[in-house]
Amino acid sequence: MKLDGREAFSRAGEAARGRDAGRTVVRVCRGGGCRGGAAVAAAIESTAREAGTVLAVRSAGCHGCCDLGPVVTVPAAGLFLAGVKPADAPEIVTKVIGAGEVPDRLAVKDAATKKRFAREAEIPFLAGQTRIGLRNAGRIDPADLDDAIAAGTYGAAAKALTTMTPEQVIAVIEASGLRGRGGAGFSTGLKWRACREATGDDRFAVANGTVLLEIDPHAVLEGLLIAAYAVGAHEGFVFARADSARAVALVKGAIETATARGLLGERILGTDFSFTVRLALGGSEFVCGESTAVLRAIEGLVPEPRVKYPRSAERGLFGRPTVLDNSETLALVPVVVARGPEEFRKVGTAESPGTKVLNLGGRVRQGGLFEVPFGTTLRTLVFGLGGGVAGKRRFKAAMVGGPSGGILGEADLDTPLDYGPLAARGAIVGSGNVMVMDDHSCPVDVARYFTHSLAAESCGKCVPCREGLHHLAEILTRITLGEGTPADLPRLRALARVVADASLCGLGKTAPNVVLSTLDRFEAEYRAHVEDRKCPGGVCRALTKFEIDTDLCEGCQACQKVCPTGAISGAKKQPHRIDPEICTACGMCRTKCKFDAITVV
Amino acid sequence: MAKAAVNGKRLIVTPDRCTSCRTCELACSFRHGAPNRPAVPRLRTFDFGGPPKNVILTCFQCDDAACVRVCPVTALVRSGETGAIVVLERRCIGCGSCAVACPFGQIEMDPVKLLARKCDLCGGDPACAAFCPTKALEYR
Amino acid sequence: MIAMDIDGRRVVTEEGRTLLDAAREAGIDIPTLCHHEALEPFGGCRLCVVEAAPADSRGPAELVISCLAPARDGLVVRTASERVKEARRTVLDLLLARCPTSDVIRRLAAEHGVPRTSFPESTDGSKCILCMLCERVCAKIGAHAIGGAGKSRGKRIAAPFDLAAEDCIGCLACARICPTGHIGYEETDDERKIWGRTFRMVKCEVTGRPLMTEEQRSFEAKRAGLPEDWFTKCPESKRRETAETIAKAFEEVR
Repeated sequence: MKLDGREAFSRAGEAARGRDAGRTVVRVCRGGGCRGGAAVAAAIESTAREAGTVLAVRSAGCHGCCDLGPVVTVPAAGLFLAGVKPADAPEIVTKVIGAGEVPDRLAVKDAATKKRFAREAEIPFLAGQTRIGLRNAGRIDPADLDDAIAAGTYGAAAKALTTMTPEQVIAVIEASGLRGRGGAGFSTGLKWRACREATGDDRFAVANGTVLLEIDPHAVLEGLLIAAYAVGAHEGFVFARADSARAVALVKGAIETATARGLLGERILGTDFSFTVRLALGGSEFVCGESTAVLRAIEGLVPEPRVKYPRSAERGLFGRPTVLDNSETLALVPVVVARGPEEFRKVGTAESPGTKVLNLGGRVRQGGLFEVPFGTTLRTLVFGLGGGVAGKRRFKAAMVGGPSGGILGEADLDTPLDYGPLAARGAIVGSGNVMVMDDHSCPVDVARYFTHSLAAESCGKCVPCREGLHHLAEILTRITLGEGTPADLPRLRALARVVADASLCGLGKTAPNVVLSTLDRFEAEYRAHVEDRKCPGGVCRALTKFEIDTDLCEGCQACQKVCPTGAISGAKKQPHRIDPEICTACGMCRTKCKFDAITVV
Repeated sequence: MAKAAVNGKRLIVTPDRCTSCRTCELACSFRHGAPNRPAVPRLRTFDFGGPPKNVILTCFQCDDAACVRVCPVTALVRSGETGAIVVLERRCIGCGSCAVACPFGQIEMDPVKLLARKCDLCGGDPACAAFCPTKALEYR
Repeated sequence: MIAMDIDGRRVVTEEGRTLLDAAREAGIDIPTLCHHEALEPFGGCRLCVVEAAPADSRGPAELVISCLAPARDGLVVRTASERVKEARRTVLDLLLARCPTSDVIRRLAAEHGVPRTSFPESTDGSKCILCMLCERVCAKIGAHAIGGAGKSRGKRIAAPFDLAAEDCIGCLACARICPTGHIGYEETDDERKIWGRTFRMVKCEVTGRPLMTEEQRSFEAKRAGLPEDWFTKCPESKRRETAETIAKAFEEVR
């Protein structure tokens, strides 16, 4: 049934919130990365039925910590159970729901302290976050509009459409200092104003970026609706990667259900404002992080960026004024509208108010999605929330900003995660990916790997990116193969600088970050590769020789078992030895050795 | 045939006066060529048995010109000053459609530059008229 | 009216012009490879980069693409600063590595102080610099017969699915606009071969000289709203015919 006004909307909210009255709600996460959630849900349901316990077993979207999945939550009790298996169902129904007792094995083990926590509010890596964009992550079923409405979604849009002028909406967004979360950090309010003031009869509002679409599609649609209302767009698109099947299905369903309820489409919530949203599918090209490439893809053309004269806000999709916002930005928009700009500015920094969703990965104890205020330091992220470096290894570097981000070292750990401070250190906010590397990594090899990948992702339109990244990758490959010369280092730097300076779009401009930032911080390791023909990190196989430190070796034979070439010999409890003639320096032994006895010579 | 130009002048041809001396062709060649490298003339005289039977042929600067209609890149535009249809050489892509479309054969393709060439009234000071000894060509 | 400082000279231009337009009007040369005035600016070759900053700016100048950057009042533009030259040299160095057999690129690179490439040379013999002028002119004409295929360094110009270009009209605009002569074709008086197609030539009814392909005639006639038999004779034949008509008309008057 269509909601024809704010009153009908608030009644729908009450109905949605009241639908589980008298029943305990249990949510089982069914995020894209979780496996086994369906079986767990089925087991809990059938166990409860047999036991005569009245439960409402509902799905939940991704919590952003897939290594702990499947996660089962009991929201009323604030309980959070990790790694649940179908066999745990009886205990969950009787002990957890019945008596509020959580068996130790289902509680979350804190990576740093090894303590176990079952209350969501106490789990350090969750409690330490400021989840605004991710406010509904794991708390609602992203496929269920009633869940979204119960959580307050579309309330801010209802407020904007019925009580605010478009001008007022833009003023609120401007006052909040909200910056685009897609990478460049441009002021969202300024962009909207430019689009509203651009000449043209028709406008478009477009959303891109996959993560929030999978977690909370209605929050993104609500933000998009507010954007459309503010700029005066009556048509919009959500651009999703066709290979992200889950996001595609969720967005498709969300658009359909929201339209059916009168929250999108003609005369929204009984007002005069109409906004039709369509799903546009694109490839998974890296260059689709570039706004002008996205618009070209929606137009049905090859996703190649164009030079931004004029900006898309003035002439974008099909030549019309267009606002394109990242789904994370859009998910924040309703919060700004609902709570006001002052409230939003209370977190984050003066230049970058609010929070940023970061994706922490690599050699860290607790990875996943972390939403933290802008200005949070890299140290807090990695060693606080992330629990530090995995295993017994030491922190060496972190790649900040995704594949085209920069590599920061130990000396940069106190860098605030924010546009300005990161740019000053050769990194970017970018996609918000932070990849941690331990002391068994090689910065040269990391630079080679990412430059090679980005060279392949270049759309090929401009010369510096297309040809320059290729030659950067070639030089780096030669260095990692032991064929580099000292003259390669200044050449790398010079070429990387021109690629960054002269490329057409953000891909080419940021791709050399990894080369320049590793050259800046790890020049000694580069020199070791080209002068001494050695890889101190023990990664570049052509330059690595492993030895077993007989003082440290306990003779446990773990290394012998994993060595694929049979290069390691030695009896149990006797020091082992690596035959350099047979060893291929694959490094498998080093990952297994508990005593750090495998050393690079 | 041509629309009135800003400068109000036209190239007026009085064939009766033409002696077919071909000074006009030479003047055109030198005006459009490089020093010591005269170009192919853009107008031609035809001797059909001496005066007064000769004919001088140059672009009529047609109103609804086929060359303009056929050009895919709008490289042929009418000069507001002279009313002449001129080739914007930096825009011409050398497809040759105009040369085949002109019903009077007044556009040819430059074999070196691979661009269209035609009479441009020398930007308002046509060399052919200036040098015609018998006033068979006048620009006024 | 817009007044700018380009290389220390005051340059006046109009709203809507680009930095490249303004510089060239003022006689300041900026090299380009992917630029053509018949086509929308592309910004791919990056040869036309210049440094630009507002006169009152304190920060570093921006490296902008002059074929697209709009002229703005008070802009200070440097078309040959060390930063600009370094970018141009690198672009030409990279293009020379890609197309070592192209005379055009060799000459241009040498002019900019790059006598030989500092990168490993491609050995595939291709002269394509992916300026996309061919694709763009083909689209401008309205044929849309060829385009870029693939991405990154593997990008190339091709007909759809590498089959014979179905929509090609054999006009040779692509081959003629190509700055390096990469696009090849074969031609006799009777036929023309390009993009996997063989086109029959329309010949002058009088002299028998080839005029254009049959497909181009149909295409151009349709665009211009002219009958196909409008395109039947070579310029020379039409001149003679016109002269004879005029001579005859005067004869009759006299």
